[in-house]
Amino acid sequence: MKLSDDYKNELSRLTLSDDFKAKLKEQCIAEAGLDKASETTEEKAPEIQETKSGKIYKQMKVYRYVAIAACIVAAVSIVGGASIMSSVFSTVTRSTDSASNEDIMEEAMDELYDTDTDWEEDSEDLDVYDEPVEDTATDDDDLSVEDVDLDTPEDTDTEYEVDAAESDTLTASPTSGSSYTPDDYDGDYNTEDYVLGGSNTSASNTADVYGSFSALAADAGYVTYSTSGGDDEELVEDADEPVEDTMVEDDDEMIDEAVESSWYDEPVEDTAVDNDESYESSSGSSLPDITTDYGTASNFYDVLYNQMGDESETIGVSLVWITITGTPDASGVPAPSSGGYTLYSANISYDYLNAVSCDIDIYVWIKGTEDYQVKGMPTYEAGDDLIVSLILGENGCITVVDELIYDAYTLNGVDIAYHRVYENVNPGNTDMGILDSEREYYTTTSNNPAIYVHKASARELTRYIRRKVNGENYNLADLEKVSQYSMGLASYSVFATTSTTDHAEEEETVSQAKSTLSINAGSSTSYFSLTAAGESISMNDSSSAERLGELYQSSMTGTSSGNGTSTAMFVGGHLTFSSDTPFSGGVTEIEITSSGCPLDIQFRGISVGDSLATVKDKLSTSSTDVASQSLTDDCVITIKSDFGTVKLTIEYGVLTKIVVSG
Amino acid sequence: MAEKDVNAYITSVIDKYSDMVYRTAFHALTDTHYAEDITQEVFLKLCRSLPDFDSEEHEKAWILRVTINMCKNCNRKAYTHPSVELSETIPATDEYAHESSVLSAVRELPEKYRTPIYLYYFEGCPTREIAEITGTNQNTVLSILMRGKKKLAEMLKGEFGEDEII
Repeated sequence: MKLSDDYKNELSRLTLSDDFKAKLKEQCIAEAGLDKASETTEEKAPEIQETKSGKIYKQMKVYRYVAIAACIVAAVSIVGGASIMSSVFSTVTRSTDSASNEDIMEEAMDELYDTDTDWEEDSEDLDVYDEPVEDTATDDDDLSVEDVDLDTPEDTDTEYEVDAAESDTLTASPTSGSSYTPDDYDGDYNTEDYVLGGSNTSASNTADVYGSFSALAADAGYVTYSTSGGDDEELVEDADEPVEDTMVEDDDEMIDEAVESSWYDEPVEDTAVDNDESYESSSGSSLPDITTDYGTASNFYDVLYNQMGDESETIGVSLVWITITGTPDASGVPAPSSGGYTLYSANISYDYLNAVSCDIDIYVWIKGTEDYQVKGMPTYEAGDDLIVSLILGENGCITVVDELIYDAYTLNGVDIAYHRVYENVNPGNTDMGILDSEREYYTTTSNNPAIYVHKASARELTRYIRRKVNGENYNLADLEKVSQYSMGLASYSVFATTSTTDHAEEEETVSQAKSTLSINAGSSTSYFSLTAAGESISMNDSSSAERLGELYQSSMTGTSSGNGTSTAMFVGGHLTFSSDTPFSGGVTEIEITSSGCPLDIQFRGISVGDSLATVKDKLSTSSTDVASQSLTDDCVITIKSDFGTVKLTIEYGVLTKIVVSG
Repeated sequence: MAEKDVNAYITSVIDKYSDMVYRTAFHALTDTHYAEDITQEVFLKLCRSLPDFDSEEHEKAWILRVTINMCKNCNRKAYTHPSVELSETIPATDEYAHESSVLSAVRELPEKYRTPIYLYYFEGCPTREIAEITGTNQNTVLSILMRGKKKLAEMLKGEFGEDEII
């Protein structure tokens, strides 16, 4: 008996008791009854109020300032007028380079009395600062004592080093990397005192602003930028109107249904922004009070183990500084199915996980468009700097981990990473604290300013993440390859290399290609049927070639021709024609190697990505009983007919390649 | 929906899906008590909202998605609420700790492998559906299934998941 059978047998014994089910039914019926009684009452929007944990977090900051100010005084008295601490402490403790010790103490005490805190309140909700405490308790490397030592240059991390001496003589204006020009700058270095006024250029004043991406996507609709027809091209250009997916042909395609019924809206939990019903306008007058409340932020470990863990298994983990260079044409580029993304071209200038500079161009999709934006998440423009983690998205596109999008600014030679409100994450002790005056920043859309919820020293933040990633032994991304995937110049395959060890093992297994099974099909057309976009197509037939051109030419990534043949290349596949010009003459070969390939060509209802069982089921006929054949998880099924040959490559029990030749 | 219909619906949906939810939660959390709690929460949520489903597949996918999200939240809270230490005198009982149990081996896998393996091999969900339910992409699911099978094969010294697996 196979192990999987044992598994299923054991699992079928794992059931709830009848007693439990009976009680559950009673509870649910009672709940439904109660709910019915109050169904006419409109559900109130959750109230936003500063939580006790938020107040306590402020208290913690004040305590820290006072404690460190006391240390400063003690240190000064011992060494007799030593200079004020480095910039690191200035970001954590607000001690300044030019202020006197007495000023520091006075400032700290002023803040003590100014905070709106009821000292007699008990803390009931410890969730918020349990997390930072938890971080320091579980990883000694994250203790603030060690983290403070920024002035000691690391061997591998020299790009963004700031000397202690330099911080005493900072220039009067920010570095050229920042678009901010401060007013009345007097040479003081107090990062938190800067107000990010922004350029206030508005690409769009009328963007529709949403509380969550799921709501945005429902309105923005679902498109395929690598389209299957001319209609979709029009939809891409006319982004003002809601777009509908025209590619649905399969009952299993759930994306189309999501537009109409939003059945994934309910299960998907919305982010902190949805809780903020008090946010009124872009004037900054009613900013959310949840900037320091991590109760609704994602736990960093969740992001580390789930999203980054997934990426380790596919393209590899990355954490990079990118500079947006523009918004290129999305034709032929792998793209997400939702219409709520913008494609940006960007340049990667620093790789934090390898701690090296680089110069790699990339295309990256980020949520939000000129017309559809999540609250606090306006679109970017050329020149904007970000720190992001790149991941493989739908259809082989490259996008970013939402929880790790940081707007990066270089202020007085120090890189500061500001986290936008959507998909906030708790970054542990890297949080520097953020002033109200820094929390709103006008960028490309005047009616939807960027809202920042926390900030961190880019150096500290990336060091923290690098340490965690290395601690999990995650595979790191090859950024050159990621660049190629992003532009459609190469397609990611689940069987591609993610680590040299795994790849060697997989290659060894695949090269032992167990068997090639030949099925000699009859002359009946039922044995050989190809469909594309729901229409039947034939090999070596000029009308079919032309029709394929109408359906797929716009999603082509390249062509080649010679010796009377031509090839049209796509992400994850290609078509070969019997003439020098693609899409003419007749199709002589079709190859599909990725389930994300825009060539949604099926052979007898079989697609790349189907399981072996599905393949067998669909191939079985009365005269050719494929089911009885001895098929292993690694094999090649060859079907020959008068019309051509089809080879189906099965690897690890999954169909990974279809090659049809006529 | 009339009250009688609601009661009948609740009864039928619990009969149909409660074990599925319980098993899904068990795979995510590897604890029968937490799995029971999650099962209760999922159906209470369903009864509060009583969404209109287009089809049975829609209903099943919704329930699975809610279950998985709740399990994620449960795991998330585990980071913020340190668990209470149990007394050493309380014996640990685990009916699934049988040495040769395949289910025990699956339980030992990291969480990201357990749920897709359960959904693929027991519930028969195609990889595309698993990707949508778990909020990942299909390539990731394929990769996870491959590696999960490989790990199980190493642990159990046998093939896991051959051609007749759904």
